[in-house]
Formats: sequence, structure tokens, C-alpha cells
Amino acid sequence: MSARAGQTQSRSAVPSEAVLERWRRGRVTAQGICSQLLGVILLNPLRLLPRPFLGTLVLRVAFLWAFLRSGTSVGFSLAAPGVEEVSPEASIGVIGVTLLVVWIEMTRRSELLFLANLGRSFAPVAAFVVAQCVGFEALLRFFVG
Amino acid sequence: MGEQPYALRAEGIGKYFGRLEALKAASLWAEPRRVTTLLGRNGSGKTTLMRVAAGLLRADRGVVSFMGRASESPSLSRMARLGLMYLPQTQPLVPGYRVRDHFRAVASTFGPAGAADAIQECRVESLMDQRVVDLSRGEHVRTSLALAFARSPSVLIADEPLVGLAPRDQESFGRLLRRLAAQGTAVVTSGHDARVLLDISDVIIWSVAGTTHHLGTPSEALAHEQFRREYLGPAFQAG
Repeated sequence: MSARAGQTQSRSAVPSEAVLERWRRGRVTAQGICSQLLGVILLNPLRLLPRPFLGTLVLRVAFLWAFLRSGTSVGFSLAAPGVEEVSPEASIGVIGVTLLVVWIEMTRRSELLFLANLGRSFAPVAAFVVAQCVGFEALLRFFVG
Repeated sequence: MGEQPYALRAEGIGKYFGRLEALKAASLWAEPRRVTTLLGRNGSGKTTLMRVAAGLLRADRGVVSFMGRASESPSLSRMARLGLMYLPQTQPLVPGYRVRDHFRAVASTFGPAGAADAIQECRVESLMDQRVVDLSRGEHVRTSLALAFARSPSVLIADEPLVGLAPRDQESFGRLLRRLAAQGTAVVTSGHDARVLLDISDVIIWSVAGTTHHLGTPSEALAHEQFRREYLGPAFQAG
């Protein structure tokens, strides 16, 4: 077992060379482009975190966001009885606080250190947290208004 | 071009915490296949120097160079991609996860090749389904070293890995560090268990009040009168 220099296996976030070649030749379909983009947007962040870190993160963010968002809604309705909708600024604030709490919790539990030892920084985790919160917010506004 | 003589160099490191000058001009070198040990009293700056070298703290002065690339603001995640692994004194693993989850995470990043050998080498088979929070100090250190074996880093920085262990465990973990170095890893470690550490080390660095003194081999360190008098003490006898 010799030292392998501990280098990470390469995982590209860009479309594969074969797809780019097909695109250059004008033979790529709209479906192909969509699936590649979905792969980049959705699957790549999932690959950036190994199990069970991802599952824990998803649950933690869902829990935190739901708690903070419902608290903000109650606060808004109490402060201004006529206003039913939480302002966009407050929604952004909820996302910011969620991100901060996730960072504190991951630091406290040594998760960030362990991930850093795997060559993974907090930046993709932060991007994932923001994307998840924005998704929840969009769903909430779409269904509830 | 030949092989880099030093896998990791932290030179002229100065670090302040507020008004407190934790490091004045401390240096650390790590060579492949060698165990380099930082010895020094509590508060002499060993951990701060190791954290700067690992990219967890930003130095106010000095340069860290890893695998030939110099940086004034290194980060652990960036250096880990090139082969660095850092084990802090407390909590190098995630308490809520099982030992198996840690091995899976390492295997998914660095490949599964070394995992089976590492699990056998460090005798952690029986711990695989246990949560880290339930492990004893010895099992914790053994699991951390097994993860290091599993990924075979080019540089391992282990901060006081032998603290809190029984003398027998200290010797067996010391041998594991030695074996890791024999596989090509540049091992940097620290601690207070001078007898075991002098036994397993190739290079001794004495950390005193924010500075470092490169003492050379353990036998040269033992021959250093000031080091014997001020750090080891008159009662010390080499093993």
C-alpha cells in the first residue's frame, strides 16, 4: 500500500467531452442539454457531499428553515395584522440565519473539518443550503401565496 | 527535476491572537517517509503551528509551502485535495456518525483501494457499526489512524495523538505512525510522551515560547544539553 498522494478522484461539473463534441456537431437534442444541465445543477452538489452528510444536511436545513420561516410568519402577522405575506427581505434573512446556524452546527460537530480533510470546502455546502431554502420558499409562495 | 525533499514547509510563521504573540518565528518541515515530532511544553505554540501548517489558521507572518506550492493563505480543503490530512487532538471524527460512514466517505473520495487493508491493519473491524460518540479514546485514535491508512496521505499532521492513552496503546499507535511513514507518508506529530515519541521519530523539533529549534535525530536531541535540562528533565531516561 504505497502513498497515492491522497488525490481526489476527478469529478467534473461540466458536460462530458462526448456531449460537447455532439453539441459541436449540431446533433445534440434539447432533451440532452436539459439532462446535462440537471446533472450539473442537481446531481453535482449531491456528489460533493458523501453519505450520510448529505441526508443530515437536507434534514437539518428543512427543519431549521421551517422553524425560522414559521416564526417569521407569526411575527409578521402579530406586528402587522393586515399583512399576511412575509417580505422578500425577511425571507432572505431567514435563509441567512439558516446558513449561519448550519455553519455553527457543522463546525461544532467537526463535520466541516472532516469534509475539509476530504478536500471539500464549505462553499458548495453553502450553495446547497441556499438552493434548498430558495426551493422551499418558492414552493411555499407558489402553493400558499 | 528530482523528488521534493520536503512535502510540507511552514517557515518563519508568526501568529497573534489579539495582543498575545503565540508564534514569533516558528518553522516546521515534513519529509516523505519520516516522522517529524514537535516537542514542547503546553502553550509553546505546537498546536498553533500545526494548525497554520494545515491551513486552519492564517499566519500573520511567514509562508506555508505544500508539495512545492507556496501560499500565504493556505486552506485545508485545497491542500487535502493534494494529499494533506490533519488530525486534531480532539474530535477528528464526527461524533454522531458510525465508523463505517467515515470509511465510506473516504472511499467515495479517494477510492476504496486502501480501506480493507487499513481496517485490518488497525484492527477496527469490530468498531465499524459503532457510533464515534461511543468509542473510547484509544478506539477513537485507532479509527483516525485507520482512516489515514485508508487514504495514504502524502502528509499527515497529527496533533498530540498519544495524549490520554495507556502506555501500551501509545507504543502500538506509535508503531502505526511509523508504519504509515514507511509507506511514503511524511508524518508530523506532537505530544508530551517523550519516551515513545523519541523512539518513533526521525526528526525532533523543540518548540519553545513561540519559536522552534531543529534538533535533528532523536539521538542528537538527547545529546542536546539544554533540551535535556529544560524539557526532558534530569529524571528522563530514553527507552
